[in-house]
Order: sequence, then structure tokens, then C-alpha cells
Amino acid sequence: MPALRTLSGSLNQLATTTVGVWWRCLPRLLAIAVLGWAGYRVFTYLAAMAVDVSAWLSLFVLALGFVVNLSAIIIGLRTAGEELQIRQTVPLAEDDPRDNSISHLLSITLLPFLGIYAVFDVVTDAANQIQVNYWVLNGLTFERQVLSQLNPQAEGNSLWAIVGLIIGLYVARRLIELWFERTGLRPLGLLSALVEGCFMLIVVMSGRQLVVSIGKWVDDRAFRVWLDYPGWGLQHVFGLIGVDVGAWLDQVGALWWDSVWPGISAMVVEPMLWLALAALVFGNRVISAADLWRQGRPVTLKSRRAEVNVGERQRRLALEVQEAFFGDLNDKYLPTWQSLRLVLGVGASFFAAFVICYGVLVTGEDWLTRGMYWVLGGHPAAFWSMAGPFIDLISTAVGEPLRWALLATAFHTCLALFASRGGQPVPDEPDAVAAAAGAAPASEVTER
Amino acid sequence: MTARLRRWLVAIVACAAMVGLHAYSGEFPNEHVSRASVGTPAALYDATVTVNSYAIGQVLYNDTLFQGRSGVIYLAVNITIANPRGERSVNWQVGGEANGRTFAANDLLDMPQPGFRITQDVVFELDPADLAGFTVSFLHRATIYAYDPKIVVDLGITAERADELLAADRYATVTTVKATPEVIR
Repeated sequence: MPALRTLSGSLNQLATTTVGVWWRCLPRLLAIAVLGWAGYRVFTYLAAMAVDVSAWLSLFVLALGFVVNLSAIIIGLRTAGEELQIRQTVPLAEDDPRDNSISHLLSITLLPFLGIYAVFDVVTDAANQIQVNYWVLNGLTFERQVLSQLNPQAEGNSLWAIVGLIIGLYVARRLIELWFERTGLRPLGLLSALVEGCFMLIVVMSGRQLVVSIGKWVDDRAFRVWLDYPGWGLQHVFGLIGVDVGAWLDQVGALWWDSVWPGISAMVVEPMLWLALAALVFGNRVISAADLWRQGRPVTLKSRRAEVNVGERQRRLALEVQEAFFGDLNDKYLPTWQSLRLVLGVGASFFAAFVICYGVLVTGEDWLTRGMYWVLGGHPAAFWSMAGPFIDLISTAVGEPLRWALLATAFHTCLALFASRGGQPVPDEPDAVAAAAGAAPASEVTER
Repeated sequence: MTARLRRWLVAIVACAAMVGLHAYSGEFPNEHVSRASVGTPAALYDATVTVNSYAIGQVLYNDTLFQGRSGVIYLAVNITIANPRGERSVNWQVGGEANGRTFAANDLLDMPQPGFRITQDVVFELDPADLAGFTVSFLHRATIYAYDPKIVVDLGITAERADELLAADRYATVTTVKATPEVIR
């Protein structure tokens, strides 16, 4: 069957190139992964220690941990990308204004990165980890809820103070970003990323509580019962023919939420979001690689404040206001969305091969961790507070370099497939990529 | 069917396979399971637990109280927990499992002080169909997250053995043993 042959070709190419890149970059990738892991761990412990001073300080330290983690991911992706010569593959103009510094990449990728982490509950897990580390450091106590200062509903906290803080951080971040754009001072890029990290963490942690409290408020209202009437009516109608539609829907709901959706989320949505983030790292400001290959030149967003050269004063003011309020949309969300469109538009065989490779990788990583736990056997919590980080280190050292190599290879393959479709010369770096373009027919690259 | 449609069909099947792999892997377990059989002591940290025997019946005589419900049977599992030197733990949990369902014990376990052992009955109320393949589990659950040790004891009740037991004792009265501490010499 040709479809299966194409899939097997894509799979073979993706797996062999990934392993090749991983092997050639292993020492560097390993060092980056270990340093990133160590930095993140140190900051999560420091965050637990800072809790006694202030939950806000703890949050700031945790944001530092996320910045270190993302820095490691960006450097790891770029290292793997250099091996594949991805930058050379993207045909940019000689005077391309892109700033490729880590601080700039951090400032544009941190928000989508934390967004992805928030979607997969990694931010909540990090907050829980602070609680566990606090117990490890100070002994088990239920008298004090760590990070309760961040809960707008907690006693003594003001909802409006937290809302004001969120708005204040947003404004501060935008101002620092503008300053960074004007001066190009790299420490400002890092500061902007840090403020952005704090902003996102507060939004996730406090916002979550707000959503819960809104839900509770709705549940306490009389009109909430009205929403149940259609369901009861349906149950009554089906009850007349002897069908317990409520039980049936419960079963379907349980199957969806307990088995199907977590699987789709972890095995399909997550890899595509990571690939979109990788695309952002390799090709920021590129609207669409399809456009890029079709026109033979990079298409960049042109609405940045620094590039506004309009004589009319009011128009300039309007554009500045637009930039202040919608700058995030242009700088971060739009490129992320376009990255996602790009990787989804490459074609079915590539998509399937990437999902399989990613799925096998995360499952292997999961089973490696399970295997280590199984070998060590059951122990008290004090033991795991010591052994757990080392197990995590081994798992990270094995899994992260492979993930970066896979993401770089997958993005490079995307470009190769678009190049073959646009009639451009296929990037000449690894032979396997040329094979990939052959394995997945250009016709399957969807029109955009 | 067009070639493009076929490729997307293969992609959907690949995604479904990955979702299936994820469901098969399941949640990360937070228990380390060790298996044991009836009559064999199994260690849970410093203590040991031994399943001595079991009995079934439709009427339960517990201290001075008779209990009975139609449609169910009582399974009384006689166990001994010995604690030669460790601290008295309050984190032990006992439960049962059969046919993919879990069962809670009727009462909490009595845990021995250091230097003592306690023999007692753990009673489960279950459907007769759940007797075959019934396992009893003992878990030491930490207060905060840990990878906790768990002992699963298979009572060794095959389908044939379950039929024999039900034929012989289904309507019997099960008399439970009161928790009795003994000094470990």
C-alpha cells in the first residue's frame, strides 16, 4: 500500500536522522540538558526556601527556574539545528533584521512556552513541587498552605491587588520590551523574559483560583438549576423507552476524559505544540514557510513599533497604542499560531511519522523512569525526596537530547518538504533529508 | 479513495495507535507491588504480614452482632501482622480486588505496638461472582507523595474452588476473630 510505504519511509528517515544528530551532538546536548536540569532544580529548591520570606519572592525565583529551563531548551534546539544547518536552509535576505540572540529568543518564546506548560499542568506541578520541597526542608506541616498568598480568595488577600499586579507586570514587561527593542541591550531581553515569566505564573496560579471561584459562584446561583433542565428532560424522554441515557453519557464521558483525551493531549497535541515552539526558535518572525518557499524570501511581521515611519502624528499614535495592546499578539501568539499551521500543513505521512516518533520517545522515557522506580522498590517519602531528583536527572539526560534532536530533524524535514514542493533546491545537508523529500511526495504538502 | 485520503487515514490510525499506547501505559504508578501467597510472611518495611486462612458465609457474627444481607457474601480473611522493632504505623491500608473492582474492608486494621503481633480478621462484603481470583492488598501509604510498597496476596481461589466454597459454605455463619495482641518472644 503506497500510503504505508510513504509512512514507513518518513518514519525511517525521521528516526535515523534523529539518532544520527543525537549521536553527533551528544556531548553538547548532554551538557546542556544536565545544566538546564540542575539550574531548574536549584531554583525550585530556592523557591521553596523563599516561601517563608514571601510567596511572591518564591514565584519570582520559580520564574527564574523556568527561564533557565527554556534557555536550555533553546540552546539544545539550536545545537541540534546547527548540526542540520537549519539556519542556512531558511533563505533569508542578506540584511535580515532578525536578532538571533538567546535573550531575544527567550523574550519571544517564553510566553508560548509557559502557555504550553500551563496547558499540560507543568506550572501547577512546579507549584506542587515547591510545596513538597518546602516539606522536605521544613518538615511536614499542614498549618501553612505554601503559596496561599497567590490565591486571591485566601484570607487576607485582595483580589484587586492581584489584578493590579497582573496589569502592572504586563505594562512593565511591555515597557522593558520597548526599551530592549530600541537599545538592543541583551540584559534587558533577559529581564523582559523574567518579568514575563512572573506575569505568566501569576496568571496561571491566581487565575486558576479565580476560575474555580467563578465556577463556585455560578453553582450557587438559582439559574444554575435551569441549565440542568434540558438534561433532565432528555433523561425522562429516554427513560420512557427504557434507556438510561445518563449512565450511557457518563460512560462515554468517562472514556473520553479518562482515556481518549489524555492520550490525544499527550501523544498528538503536545508534540505538535513542541514542534511549533521549535519552529519559533528556528524561524522566528517567519509567517509561513509555505509563503517563504513560494516567494523565495522571508515574510516578516511589519507592524513593530520601531519600524513605524508614518508622518501623520495621529496615525503613529494609533499604531503605538495598537502595538502596546496587541504587540504580544504580533510578536508571540501569531508566530506560534503560524508555526502550528506550518507543521500541520506539511502532510499526513510526516505528521504520522512525527507523532509516532514522539510517542515512542515519551513512552520510552516514561518506562525508563518506571523501571528505575521498580528496581529501587517501595520506600518512604524521605527516601524519594533524595532519590527522585537523580531518577529525574537520568530520565532528562536520556530523553531531552533525543527530543531536541527529533524536533530539529522534524522541522528540517518540514522545510525540505516545502522546498521540494515549491520547486526550490532541496537543502543539501543530510542525505537523509533529501530522501525524506522523496519519501513523502511533494503533492501531499497541503496548499496554504 | 484518493491517495491523499489514504495517507490521512493511515495518519489517523497512527494517532489512534499512540493514544492506545498512552492508555495502555496508564497513569504513573505510585505503588511498588510485591506478590505473596497464603501462609507466606511478606515484609512491609519493618513489619511482616501473613494471610493465614479465609472463610465465607452469608451471615457475619462480629463480636456480639449478627449481620446478614441477601445477595452478598462475607469473606473473612485471617491475618497476622508482626512488628518486631519498628514504630507503630498508622499508614497501613487494607483492601481487596477482584474482576477489576476494588473492595474496602469493613473495619480498619489494628496495628501492633513494637515487639507485638496481632492476629485479626479482615472482612469484605462482596458479590459471590467476585470470589474467584480475589486478592487482598496491604499498602503503606505515605502522608505525602512517595512510591509506596504494597503487598498483594492472591488467596488462590480459582473458579472451581470458588464453586466448591459457595456450594459448601454459602449460607454459613462467619465468626470473626477479635484482634489479639501477642508478645513476640
